[in-house]
Amino acid sequence: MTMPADDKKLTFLKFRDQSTLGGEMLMYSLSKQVAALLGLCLAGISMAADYSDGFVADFRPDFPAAVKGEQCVAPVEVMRRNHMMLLFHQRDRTVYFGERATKYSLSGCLSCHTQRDTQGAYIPINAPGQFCQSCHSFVSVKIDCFECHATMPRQRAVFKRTAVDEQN
Amino acid sequence: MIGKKLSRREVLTAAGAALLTLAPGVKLVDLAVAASKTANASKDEATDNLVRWGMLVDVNKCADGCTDCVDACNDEHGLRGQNNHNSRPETDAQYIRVLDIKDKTTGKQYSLPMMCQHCETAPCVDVCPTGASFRREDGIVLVDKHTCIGCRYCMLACPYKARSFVHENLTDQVPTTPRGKGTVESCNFCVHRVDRGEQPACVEACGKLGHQALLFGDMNDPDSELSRQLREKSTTQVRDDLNLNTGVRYYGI
Amino acid sequence: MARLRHTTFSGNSRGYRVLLVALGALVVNGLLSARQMDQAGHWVTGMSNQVVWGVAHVFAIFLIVTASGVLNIASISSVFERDVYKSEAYTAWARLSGLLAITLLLGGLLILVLDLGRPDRLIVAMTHYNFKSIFAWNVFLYTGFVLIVVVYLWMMFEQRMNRFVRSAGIAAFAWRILLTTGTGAIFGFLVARQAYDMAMMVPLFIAMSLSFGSAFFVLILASLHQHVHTKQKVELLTRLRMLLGNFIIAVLFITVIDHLAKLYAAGLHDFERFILMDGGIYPAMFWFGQVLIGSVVPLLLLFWRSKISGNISMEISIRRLVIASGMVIAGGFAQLYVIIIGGQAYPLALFPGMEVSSSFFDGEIASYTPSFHEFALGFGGIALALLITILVLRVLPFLPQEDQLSGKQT
Repeated sequence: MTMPADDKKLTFLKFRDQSTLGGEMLMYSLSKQVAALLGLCLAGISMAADYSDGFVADFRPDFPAAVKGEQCVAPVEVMRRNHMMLLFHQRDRTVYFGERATKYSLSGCLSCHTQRDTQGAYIPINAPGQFCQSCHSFVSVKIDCFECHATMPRQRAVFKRTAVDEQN
Repeated sequence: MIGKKLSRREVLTAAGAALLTLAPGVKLVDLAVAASKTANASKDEATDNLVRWGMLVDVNKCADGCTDCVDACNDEHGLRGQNNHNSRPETDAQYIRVLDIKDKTTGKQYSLPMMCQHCETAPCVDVCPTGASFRREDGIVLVDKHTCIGCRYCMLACPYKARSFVHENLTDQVPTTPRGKGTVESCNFCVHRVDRGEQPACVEACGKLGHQALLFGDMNDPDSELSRQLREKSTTQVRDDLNLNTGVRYYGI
Repeated sequence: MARLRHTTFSGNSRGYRVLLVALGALVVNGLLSARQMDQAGHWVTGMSNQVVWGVAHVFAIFLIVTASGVLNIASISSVFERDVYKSEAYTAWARLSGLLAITLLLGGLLILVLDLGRPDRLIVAMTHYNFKSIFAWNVFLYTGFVLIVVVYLWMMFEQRMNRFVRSAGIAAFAWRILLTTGTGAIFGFLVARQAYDMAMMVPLFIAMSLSFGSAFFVLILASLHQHVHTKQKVELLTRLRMLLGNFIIAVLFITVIDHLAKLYAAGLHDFERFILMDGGIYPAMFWFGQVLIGSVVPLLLLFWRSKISGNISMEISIRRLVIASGMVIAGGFAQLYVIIIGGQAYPLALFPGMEVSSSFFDGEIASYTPSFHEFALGFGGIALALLITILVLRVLPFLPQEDQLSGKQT
């Protein structure tokens, strides 16, 4: 007997989530563990040296605020820690099942967080100091999303092969 | 912890908490599944195998020298070489192309568009080592570029030369067609449009000038115009000797 | 019978150090080219959307095929030759044969991995499997081969484990046949291409591996100059002559059958005309490379005897074997070049019997000029294999010891 289509999909999805965890997320969870260990070391050092309360300085990346919207798709604390999980999950649902809801999609991020320059033109979100890049360089996590994905919202492709060829 | 001065006690507590959640992934998956379920309920649906997307190419209506479908495709997916025009034709991607065909014996000539045939038993899907090359439930053959390692075995296996490899760094991609160096790609039936309920860009472009040589639709729906025409006309699959049950059929060759 | 002893490579000559540096430089050169390919994209190579696998793949597949073939020596010693005295020459060299099998495979895999469009996603290839893909099978065949040969070597090294050598040898032999089957199937099971669609690729690749592997081992033996006792070398070399000759004939035979079968089918006449006559570099490589240099001349060198002088001296016979082996290797590269690149250069027949043209090079013979980067990567893979080999030889006793065999046989 065949399973109902939706059950089959969920099984498949479960598999994909696990395999995602096994693959690229391995690096992520490894880095988490390393961070935890580093945190422990830091605590140890601070205890040994008996620094004053001000030891942990006011570190934070400097990134521009969202252009529009009052509230992100999830609470800030959730987004800070888990945005990659949400993105990975949405990504697989979109690629494999064609679910293009923008709630947790990368283009959803772009639509609120892309800045414009003084002329009103979009600035790529992976440019230095921009939303994605500022945080990711702060925590030294390289992302390769934008090797393929668009870095700014765009309604339609503006390029016409013949026109461009003639100009050049 | 960010942006706040912390006491030593707080630092220790945070470090301990971090140690206790050494495998955060488990919890996060549940969160993501729950989130996605809500998104589903409110918005779009997953694809299912009740539909099989297909296309009929009427070769007789394909106008000589016309490249509207190709131009629309390049436009839709932002296909171009590094220097904004086809500077390296041997390595630039083509999702759809026009084949000029001449019968050596009889001299009969005709042209037709060739692209991914969206086979039911696609050789590219069989040979892909990571499963990045896959067939969606609704019959569209795609590359998951997140798991494509760029081995190019699918390009050797495809009987239609439908696939291209991205040979260079790209910028300014079209949001609906993410594509990047080191991965393989091909016609995806404009899957982002199909999910929105629209026609592929080539079909739309072919209809604009009234050529109507391309017909897109659901092969599984007996009442669709596509199914009706496929039933009535004697259509051909290219390389039908391979028995791949292609999603693209040709009439008039 | 005196027990066979092995020793490490003791020479610390200037030659050894020069070799180390040279091989190291080749490896670094290969890595730099790979980095360039990765950063700029594959357009800097000769490969294109028409010829998707280039000369780097010729090197990689040569190394992988040779890796399993070079294990012949060990297989014969522990599986096929039951006569202890006859097998002794093979047994003496079985360890080195196992080591080369591993290092050559690693060299080949390095090339394949660094040529990927996304080599950084190697972890994806390790965690996502499509079990219908021959590539995915090969991932297991390669790792399994390395594991089995490591165990096999352990059985050889550890005296208490010596009684399991035969079982391990049988497993390794079976696995190496499977491995070459997998490599041949990469091409043989491609229904789309006229050059590849034949299961005959599998026996062809097995025969190629036996032939290239034996020839490669002869060259390695010949290059181990003063450091190793000549008597053992001479013994093994004398035995390898017949073996190599038979393997060359096997490759030639399967090649002839393949072309005859294709010539019999009208649909493949155009392809055969291309690959055997009109195709420029490919027929040249086939006739002069594979057939003449890689098969006919080596066979003459191995088997031809002057009627006047009768038997030739052992010294000349061995010199001829070494030359023949070098030619077999050269012919092997030519053969793989014709199979891999010639097979892709010939256009796909979407509409058999029709003239087809397009902006995507349909119906045209694809042009391909190998680039510096591909050669650099290919030589880097070979250099890596040899570098690991000569480093391991210094540390572990892989080479038969001089004194043990002298005077053992009368």
